[in-house]
Amino acid sequence: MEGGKVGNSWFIGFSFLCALVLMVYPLPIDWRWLRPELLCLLAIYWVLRFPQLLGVGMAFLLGLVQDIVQGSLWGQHALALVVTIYITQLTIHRLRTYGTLQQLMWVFLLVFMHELFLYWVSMLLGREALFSYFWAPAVISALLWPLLCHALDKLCWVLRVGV
Amino acid sequence: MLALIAVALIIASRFFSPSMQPVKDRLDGFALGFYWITDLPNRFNNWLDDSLVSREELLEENRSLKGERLILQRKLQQYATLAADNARLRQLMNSAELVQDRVLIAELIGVSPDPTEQVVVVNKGSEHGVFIGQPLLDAFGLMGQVIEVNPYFSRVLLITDASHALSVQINRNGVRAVAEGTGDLYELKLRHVSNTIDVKVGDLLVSSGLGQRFPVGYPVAEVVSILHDPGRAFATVIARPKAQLNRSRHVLLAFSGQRNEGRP
Repeated sequence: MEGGKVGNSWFIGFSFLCALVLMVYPLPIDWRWLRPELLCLLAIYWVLRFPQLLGVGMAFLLGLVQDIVQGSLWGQHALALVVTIYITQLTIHRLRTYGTLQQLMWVFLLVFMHELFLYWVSMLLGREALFSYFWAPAVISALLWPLLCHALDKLCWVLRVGV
Repeated sequence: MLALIAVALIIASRFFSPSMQPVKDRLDGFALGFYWITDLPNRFNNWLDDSLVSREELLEENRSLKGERLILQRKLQQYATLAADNARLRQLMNSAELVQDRVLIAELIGVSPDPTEQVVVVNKGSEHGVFIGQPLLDAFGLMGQVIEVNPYFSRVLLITDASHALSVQINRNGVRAVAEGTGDLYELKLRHVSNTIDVKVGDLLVSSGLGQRFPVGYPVAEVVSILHDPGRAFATVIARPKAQLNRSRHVLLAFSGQRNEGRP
């Protein structure tokens, strides 16, 4: 894991593709605000695992792709993801030593900030955002975090990603 | 640094969108792939519904459809005479004849994931003649208007979006008003309705065609509550959209003759 190359890195790209599909999967229009920020979670996970591979630049590109796919204003998700990943990188050593519960809280904060930036931009555009739009995805994403970590750890082990 | 670039990009795509349109069109084709994938389960479901039906169910459905057709045909007979009547009266009044609208049947394939905007994705685009500003209807009423067109799909702003407003009139007495979206899927608000205007709970609001965008006479909403507050200059009138904005999958794009661009 210390080397520059990461084996089977196609899996990382594939996971992002899956996340993008799930991000636009049509939920009932009343329940859209409950959608977890899967792409943001995945980005945090991969940055923690392979910091040499994923950085702020990749986050920018990913956010841009998400903007294009979701049809939102270009740069909206890019901005939010860049800030989130930057803070993740700053706190990477602390995050790695944390236990599950502490990690969960920290991820909650990170996703909350992600949402804050997203809706800050859309509020500048004159749209109305309820407070529940901020905390609901953050809570759900944080609760998903241990599950996602566990599943991805297993998958990485099986597929020998990063060996 | 990248955050600054992102901010610059946001500003650029907000204010200089026309010059970025070609790039946007190209990349939106790529986005379509994702909507196509997320629509697969739905289509699979439809296919199952079509191919795994028992004979009894088909017979039953056939029977009910026949009954429905009979009822509709009876209504249509009346409609023919009514239309003729209407045309004659309009001639008497020297006003323009109502043009029959042509429609294109489309299917909803996606919903915008952003909860602050009410936008849906429809599987017809400029290849099928869809244009910006085109009205979208379902079987019950007006749903919204097209705001973005690609070759194979288009995005539609629903009438309940907070940035949307359309001109309506009360079907009972022809009083005109402007119905604004509130961001809530079940609520439209009538703007600047004075306290003395004749409006009742249960009144049907139909599109008036005054905005030159929506065709005349399609049902839009039904008034559900009126609040006369003496402290305010206008009455607060809340209406509920007729169209099933959260359910309809089969929708209609109407061609009403005129084409005009831009958002209202």
